[in-house]
Amino acid sequence: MLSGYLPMLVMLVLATVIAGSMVIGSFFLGPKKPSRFKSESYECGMTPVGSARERFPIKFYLIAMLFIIFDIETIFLYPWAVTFRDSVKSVKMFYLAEMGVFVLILFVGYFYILGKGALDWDEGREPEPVADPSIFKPRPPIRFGNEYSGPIQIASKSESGTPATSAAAGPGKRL
Amino acid sequence: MTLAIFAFGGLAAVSVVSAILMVANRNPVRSALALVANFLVLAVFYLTLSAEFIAAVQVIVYAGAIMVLFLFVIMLLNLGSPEALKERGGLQAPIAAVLALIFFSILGAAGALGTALPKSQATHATLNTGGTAETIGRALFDPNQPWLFPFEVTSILLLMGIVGAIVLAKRRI
Amino acid sequence: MVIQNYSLGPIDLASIIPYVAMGTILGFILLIVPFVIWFERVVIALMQDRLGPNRVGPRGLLQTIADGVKLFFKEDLEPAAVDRSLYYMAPVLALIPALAAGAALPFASISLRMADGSVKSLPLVAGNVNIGILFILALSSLQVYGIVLAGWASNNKYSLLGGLRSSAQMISYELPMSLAILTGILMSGSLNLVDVVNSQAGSILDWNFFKLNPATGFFFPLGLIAGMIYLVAMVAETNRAPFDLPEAESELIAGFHTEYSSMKFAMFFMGEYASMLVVSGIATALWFGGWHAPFDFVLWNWIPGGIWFLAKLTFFIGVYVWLRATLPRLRYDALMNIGWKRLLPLSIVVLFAVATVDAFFFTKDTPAAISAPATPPSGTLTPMAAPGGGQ
Repeated sequence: MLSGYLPMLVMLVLATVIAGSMVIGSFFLGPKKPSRFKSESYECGMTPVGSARERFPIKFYLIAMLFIIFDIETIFLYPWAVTFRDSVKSVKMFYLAEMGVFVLILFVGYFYILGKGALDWDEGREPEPVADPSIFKPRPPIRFGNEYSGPIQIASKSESGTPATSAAAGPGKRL
Repeated sequence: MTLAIFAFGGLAAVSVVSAILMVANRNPVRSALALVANFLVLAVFYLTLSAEFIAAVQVIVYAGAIMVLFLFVIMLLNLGSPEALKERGGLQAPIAAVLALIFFSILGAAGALGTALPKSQATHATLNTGGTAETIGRALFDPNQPWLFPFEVTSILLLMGIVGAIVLAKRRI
Repeated sequence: MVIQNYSLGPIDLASIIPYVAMGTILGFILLIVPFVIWFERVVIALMQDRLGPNRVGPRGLLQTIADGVKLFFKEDLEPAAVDRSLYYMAPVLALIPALAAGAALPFASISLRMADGSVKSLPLVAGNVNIGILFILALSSLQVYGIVLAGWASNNKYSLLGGLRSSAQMISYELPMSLAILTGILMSGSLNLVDVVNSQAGSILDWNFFKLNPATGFFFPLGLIAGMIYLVAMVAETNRAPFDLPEAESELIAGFHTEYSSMKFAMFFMGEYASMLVVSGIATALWFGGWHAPFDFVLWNWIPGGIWFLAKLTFFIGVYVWLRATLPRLRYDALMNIGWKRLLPLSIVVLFAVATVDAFFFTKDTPAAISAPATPPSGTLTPMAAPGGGQ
């Protein structure tokens, strides 16, 4: 039975060899002309400031933690899903009930997470107040054209039937 | 047979080396990686014992989920220079050495006597089907088996894990 | 098409089939990746009304190969602040799972005439094992390491952010992905991908994606929903547009591989395309009937199954390219919301809906699978019923 795994193991070893030889090959094949500026961290040409290994938000930690828990849940579902279809009806009902209880208890936790807002990525940040509310007011329509062409009206659907007053209505309509 | 023994020897060597690396490494990220390597070898060990489902679960849960969390935590804490992590003084190392000595002598004695260890009940038939997901599923979800209740209680354990994670990680609860 | 089972002493064709399949799939992945990249560039160019690669070879076909050769001879930069060994290890760790995951992917089946005259149908797969799909899932869960280590070892702010984003995204979408896969497993009743494909034999109506055969199972919209969840999660798992936040070039330069040059950069690139091929292969095997033709039709029954598999695979690669050309990149909070708040509950509801429909309408009354033996002595695990095999 284990002989079935042998080709997979061989393939794993082959993949390792291929990947390793690529790194080694490019290490030896390429030229090596290091300079101080080349070996700086790339930050779009700016001089790097401070260390890159900053502390980062705890949200990532929370995501990883919750992932473990739900991952274990799915692990329990695998043997369940495999045995389900081969069973008779009464056994199926029983399977359904017990896995239902299991998942229901876990989903109490899921709704707890939802309720606590742990899955809200922008947690705790209020929308910033708009400095000048007038930017949301409807603005006068933008006028195209210049002093030579005169105003060009952009034909919208509602007014496409009405004749444009401008001299350059033709090109305006094409827009 | 000899091939199996050679394979076991090689795997065991890798597992021991990776375990030692995990403890001895100064850099926590490399320690975590050595632990991942150890988990992978452990999965292959499970496979050689015909426990295929457990082998897959070992990789998916331990190497794929829990160690990712470990890496996150190591990076999150930003432990700074490896020297800051050095354990100072303490009796941990000598006690560990003594305990390891006791453990290996017990193991060696049991191996030498050959009787102290319980014998495996496995037959060839059990070995061939005992480790598949189907067998585990039939055993785990069978009302006549004693594993149904522990299985259901596991979900409460996981629920506690969820609550604990939220309590630890949320600023406002 | 039946092939004679040639044998040379103790080795016959049937026993080396797994190794043939292994060589085929490994060679296929390694050789086809340049052409997938070419395909993507050409198709996106057509969609954006430009020419695309058109200088090297006919229609630019050799462009990617030229690029690969060039990358081998490029300077292998090593920034001063990196963690040296991890910096070199990260691309290797990113490429290995992507290449090796194909080991459990069955892509065709061939018929062998054995020595006694009987005809035996063998799947072309490196590892025809009971936990095939779990093997692929395990390897895809290991793919996080290459990316997160690349981000950390580079000692670059953008790299670290990209690596973090990517790992959080990959583990978040692994949940709906495995739940969707579970739905497919529930429909087919096996973790072995060969059995999963064989359970979809017949016509397009037997594919898990549609599954509206009243005799074996009628899960019509459910299989479709689960399949769509899988397709979304598979795009997110491979960090492709519109979920390509880890390498969002407008904010993170190139994300986790900012500091990588020469072949090491190409390895991340190759890993991405190789895992695209593998997850598309799973989609084909799990939802779209693997190597089976859409329906029985006398004019195309001579086409070998591998061609059908390849055609379906090409379709999914096309979908990838289409998505990339069409959709803008998501915002990170929207990405997390979709994964955790929409797909996760939806996929579990679909799973239970399929189980319920199956329990009420499609129970086979074969007594072989009744699992109620007397309680065995505690502590020993006895195999209960006869293993169900394919179905």
